[in-house]
Amino acid sequence: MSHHIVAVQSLDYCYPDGRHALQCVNFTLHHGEAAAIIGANGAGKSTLLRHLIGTLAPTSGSVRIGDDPVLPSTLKQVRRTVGMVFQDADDQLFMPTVYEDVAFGPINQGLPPAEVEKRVKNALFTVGCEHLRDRPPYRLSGGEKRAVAIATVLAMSPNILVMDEPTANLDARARRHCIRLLQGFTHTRIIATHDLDLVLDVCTRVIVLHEGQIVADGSTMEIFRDKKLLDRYHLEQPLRMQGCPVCSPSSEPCQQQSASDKHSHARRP
Amino acid sequence: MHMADALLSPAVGGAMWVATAALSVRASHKLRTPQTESLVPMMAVLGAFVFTAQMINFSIPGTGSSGHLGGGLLLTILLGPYAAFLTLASVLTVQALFFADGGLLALGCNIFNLGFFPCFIAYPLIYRPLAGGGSNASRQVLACFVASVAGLAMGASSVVAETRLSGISELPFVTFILLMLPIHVVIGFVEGGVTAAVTRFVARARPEMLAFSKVGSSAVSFRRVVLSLVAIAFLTGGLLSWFASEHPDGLEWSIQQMTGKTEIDGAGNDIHRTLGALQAKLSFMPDYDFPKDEVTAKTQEGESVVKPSTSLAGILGAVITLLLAGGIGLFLRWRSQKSTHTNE
Amino acid sequence: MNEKRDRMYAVDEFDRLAAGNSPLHRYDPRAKLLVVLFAAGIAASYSRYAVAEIVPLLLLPIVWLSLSKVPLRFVLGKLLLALPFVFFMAIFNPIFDRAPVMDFGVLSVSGGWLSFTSIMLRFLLSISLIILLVACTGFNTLCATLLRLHIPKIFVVQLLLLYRYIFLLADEVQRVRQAYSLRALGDRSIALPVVGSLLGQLLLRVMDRGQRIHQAMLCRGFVGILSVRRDFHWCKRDTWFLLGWTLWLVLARTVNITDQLGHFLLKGLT
Repeated sequence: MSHHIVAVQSLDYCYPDGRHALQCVNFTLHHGEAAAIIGANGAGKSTLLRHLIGTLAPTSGSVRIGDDPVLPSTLKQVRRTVGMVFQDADDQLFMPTVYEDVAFGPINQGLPPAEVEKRVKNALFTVGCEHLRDRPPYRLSGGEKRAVAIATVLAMSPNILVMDEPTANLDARARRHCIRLLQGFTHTRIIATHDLDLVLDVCTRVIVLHEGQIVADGSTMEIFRDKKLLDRYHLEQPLRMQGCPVCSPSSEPCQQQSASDKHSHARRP
Repeated sequence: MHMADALLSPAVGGAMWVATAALSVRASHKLRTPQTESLVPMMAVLGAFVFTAQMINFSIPGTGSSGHLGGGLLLTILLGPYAAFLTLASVLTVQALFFADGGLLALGCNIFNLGFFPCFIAYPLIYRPLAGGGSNASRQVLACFVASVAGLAMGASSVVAETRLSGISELPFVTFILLMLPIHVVIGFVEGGVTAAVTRFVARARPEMLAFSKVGSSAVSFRRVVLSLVAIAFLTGGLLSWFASEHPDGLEWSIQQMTGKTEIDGAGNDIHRTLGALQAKLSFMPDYDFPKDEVTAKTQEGESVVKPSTSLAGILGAVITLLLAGGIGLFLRWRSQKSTHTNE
Repeated sequence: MNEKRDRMYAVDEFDRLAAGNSPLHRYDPRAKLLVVLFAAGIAASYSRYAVAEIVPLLLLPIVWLSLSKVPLRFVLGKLLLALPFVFFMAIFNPIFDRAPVMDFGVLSVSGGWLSFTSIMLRFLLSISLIILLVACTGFNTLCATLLRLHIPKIFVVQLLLLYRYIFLLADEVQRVRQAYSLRALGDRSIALPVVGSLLGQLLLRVMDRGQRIHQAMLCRGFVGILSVRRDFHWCKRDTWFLLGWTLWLVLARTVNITDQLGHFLLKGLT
């Protein structure tokens, strides 16, 4: 399944004014992997994501999506494989109704009307928004917008999902709904986020970005247990690990817990 | 200032619509290239910006009143003439549909008055030459002021011309001009200031944002566009007005001048009656006039240029008609309510 | 200032009404639009002093109002908002045209007042029809209608996108104004020196958004054309609608109905 692989090699990017946004970024993601990119504000998370969909071109280094390098000439194929959910859902919902927004991608892919209808139905069903079909986007709540934005990308059947702050500004219920959705996907997922509890629920791998460089890359629990590392790069542990005497030994024991207990903070049902 | 349907004649409205339509089609053609594809979302958000920025009132020092941004010149600076014209047209269309700003017949006039002059005259012929490359700040500011005032003054004069030519309003030309122009010059000045301030801000903070205007604008074709459109508008308007001019009434008047009678017997009478009947049937154009002296035109005995056709019978009929119409309306409402009740 | 904010709610209200279901809603929007345009032309074609002749045309908005489920209060409210400008222009007519043209013995009516009434009647007719059209059709459907009537696609797309983003921007502008007035101690009018940077920053944010939207479109395969949903079907009912109202308009224009009616009644009475 080589087309699900994301390979970033020695990626360097400088802003027009000369500042380094990304320096020597290297990582590879395999089929079905769910990775989180975390870091303080300004670390370069969004900039990195934009390289993955070809919105920005590297100053040096390369990005490969499956077999294709991300170049101006291959953008069309790349965008069939990679679907990006933007930070601000309003930027993605520009059609008069939800139906037309979700259908936008498949129509541009040149699919026949029957297939478009099928894709839209499935996408809306997956995110639980079939009842919003004919609603105009400005009539949607924050959570509904987010779900529909995800549907607009799903309808294109991408192999790789890239998401920028998917749970930002969502209320508890909408957030939980979004997390459940992400847990259910089998696509390769790259999620840039501040919501570290989301990372615990969804991602198996964490890449820490600091001032444009990768400073840590490992499994979720490995990174989140390393308090010193997180502290050094202006991060904290996920909230639900912070009260835990096992993961945060300096804190008060809140319940009868011991290291031998079936102890896991990951994968809430 | 907006034109309204209620003050417009079909001839003038039609002529302006022809001009606006021609301009819009041309602008649409110009924007069909791949380079302009990036303009599509930009036009939309900038249109929304102008629309909503009109909600921001700023106080004009010294006058105690407030003004707001019109947006024509700013849009043209940001988007170039063709895209700006379409954007303005879309904003005015939304305003016409939702805020009843004028009406559908007057929409053509409004788009022309508020769009054509800033985009195709003030910007290329005044702003661009004056502002140079945009590197000299004071030249740019000056250009904003002059272009703004010019654009608004032309627009205002256009409104006056359209109103007078329509002949529904009886505001005399001179009074109207004296009313409109000074106000619009002041408004233009204020708008020029705001446009200059915003443009300078963008030029300093994010100069690359001013590059969108380079897409799809060529100075050479402007003059041709401008001249041909002005020609079309005047030709159409002139033709239609001439066609609608009361030849029969003019005939009647000149007959009266010659013979001292309002009607001639015999053949002339037949012709007159036929023409009169024809005119009555085809009275698609109003009998507007351009009297040199309003008072004397009306008090002259036998003056037929202006003929009020309402009489007592007419008024009585009108009242009855209204009552009938109201009755029909109520009946229909009652019936539809009954059917919804039986359906429940 | 609040009046302009209320205007945004008004746009929203139109949307809500358009989602309704009434006999008028069900006619093909092309038929409705064509009738409204034709009525506007006919209304404008009367002579300056025509008053009674215009009255039969009012049957159109009255019947439409009853057929739709639009509340009268809504229509009157909108008319009232649009009234001031026309009133201001129309009032000059009685001022400048004082020669009496009609005499009722004691009362004499000048030409100016006749033309004033004529203007107000035209206003009533054309504006109420627009209000009813938009309230029973919805903006998005209207745009699709324009496309069917061969208006250039780029313009229709512009209308749709513009409409969609007006709401978003209106909210943002409201926030900016509120933030300003909180720190300007209640002043709702923004001081001139601040305007440049306030509007400028708003503009930059707007343009950034424009670029992001463009990116979002590109990511979903945008190649310069947006497809617009247009699924309406013309049926016989719509033909009758169009023909019927057109004939009525032509009849009202060519035959002085009110005059005939009045004479008939007078003859009957005397």
